[in-house]
Amino acid sequence: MINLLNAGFTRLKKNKLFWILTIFTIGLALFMIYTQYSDMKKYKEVIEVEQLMLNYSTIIGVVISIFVSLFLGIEYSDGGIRNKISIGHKRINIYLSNLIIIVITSLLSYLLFLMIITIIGIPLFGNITIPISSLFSLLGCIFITIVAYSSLYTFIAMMISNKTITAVISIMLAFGMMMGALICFRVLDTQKYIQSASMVNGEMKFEEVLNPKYPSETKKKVCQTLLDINPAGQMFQIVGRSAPNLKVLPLYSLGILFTFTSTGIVLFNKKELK
Amino acid sequence: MEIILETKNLEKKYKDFKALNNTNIHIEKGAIYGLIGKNGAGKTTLIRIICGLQEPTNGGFSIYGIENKDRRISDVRKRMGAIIETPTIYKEMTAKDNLIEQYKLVGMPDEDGLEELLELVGLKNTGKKKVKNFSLGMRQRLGIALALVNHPDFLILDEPINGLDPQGIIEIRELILKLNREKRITILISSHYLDELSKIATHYGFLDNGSIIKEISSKSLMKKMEHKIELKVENEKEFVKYFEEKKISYEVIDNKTINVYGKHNLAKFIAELSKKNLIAEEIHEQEESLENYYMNLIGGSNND
Repeated sequence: MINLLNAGFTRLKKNKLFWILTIFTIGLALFMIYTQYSDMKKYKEVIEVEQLMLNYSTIIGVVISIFVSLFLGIEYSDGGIRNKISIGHKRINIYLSNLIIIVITSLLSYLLFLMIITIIGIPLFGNITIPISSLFSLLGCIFITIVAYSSLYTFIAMMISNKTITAVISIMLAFGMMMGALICFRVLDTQKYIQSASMVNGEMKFEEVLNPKYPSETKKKVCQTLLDINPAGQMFQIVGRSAPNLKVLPLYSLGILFTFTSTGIVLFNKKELK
Repeated sequence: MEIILETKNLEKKYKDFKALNNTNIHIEKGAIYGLIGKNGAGKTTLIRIICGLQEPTNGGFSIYGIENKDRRISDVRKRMGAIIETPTIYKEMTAKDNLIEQYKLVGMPDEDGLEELLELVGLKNTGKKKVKNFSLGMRQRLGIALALVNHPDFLILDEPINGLDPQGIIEIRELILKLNREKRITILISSHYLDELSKIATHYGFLDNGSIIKEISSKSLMKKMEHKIELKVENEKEFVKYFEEKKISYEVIDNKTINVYGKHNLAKFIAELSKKNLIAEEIHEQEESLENYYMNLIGGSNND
């Protein structure tokens, strides 16, 4: 396992995609700081630096999906997995080492983003305005969701031998999860009452009536659960600081990690390789 | 003789198609075992199974005496090197970086011998050139270098000369011979280039429709392919006596057939026999190539 990790990180250092990811992360952090600083100067807006720290989480799912599908996809296309097995590495170790490399790379990307925001953002926008423990809870949730994302995309990349198909499915899934989360938000945000206008004796009359599209309690519960399970939904709730129960999110993420990793290991052990 | 690889009634099914059917091969230590078969005969499937990429449907195999169901099979594979179809190379990296990656994968404490390996395969001067810009021959040689990193004593090469130009084929051939003779590495090499295999193999396994139809040593095969005269006779004993006396190389096939090996002038040979009152009922002069031998084998197995 140590040899696999050692070789994996050596390849990572030489990998163009890894450096593109690093430059993208730095660029994104600087871009966010610049746009927020411009808004602050132009419109006298108050910018909360902690909000900047959380923002990357909304798109990191897409970033991880692209990185994993291309980085691990090469393992199949260039024969890396075939080589590892034929020189005696166990399949479970190959799977887990790939997962560990992806988790660490994804977390490092977020930490790099945080570091830049902290170093440049705090002097520009002022100190963190929420209790530090609250910030740590939010960041902790983000990190665990990143682990869940990594396990999900590693599963896809290890199950599909074709790099292009892996990339297409992973990216579509990333956007699909975001769309799914937004649909759930729309259902949950539906107003119970809506204003109705009617003409009575030539006069406009406004009254509040029950919204026919207002979801039932069961539907709301289902939507909230789907939002909590869905990593993109988790990230949106963390960024919006709108999660009714923040503590439950890491549990769902760990569930995703356990389910996809254990299933992935079993299936990868049985997979017929070419 | 120590057996490095042995398969026992190996069978591999893909739905209703049998890619391997009761395949039995035996590879002795120090051999260059040429696995011959046309495309789709099952060569790559056999190699994939040996390398652990696929599981057999039935039967089994052992490497260095360790059965495939034994948990120690992964450890045994650490003594092997393999190139399956195309070499495992990260194309965005240089030859040296690929080797460093392999050193780490096999757990070598340092990079001792890396330059020697590059020199061995003739890639010492490739510098910062990325593998994607290498020729096919260079890639194959790099693939072999990668397979040699863990100092294997058993090397598996699947179609190593496919797509190579004549120069590339010569380079790979010389490298294989060097590895076998100087480093004493046992080699399993699959190919459908019979001519090339005949230049290096010490043993052959002929694979057709997923079954090994013949295993033969190069020496025995050479004897079979020698120029020969087949005699159909009434009484083989008189002939044998004469051949012994004259020290003529021969083989009694059955009590009516004798093969005489070596270059003989047929007219003179018949005249000599006549002088001794040795009259053959039929005389056939034959010269077989590996290709003919293979075609006869395949034809024979297909007619069975």
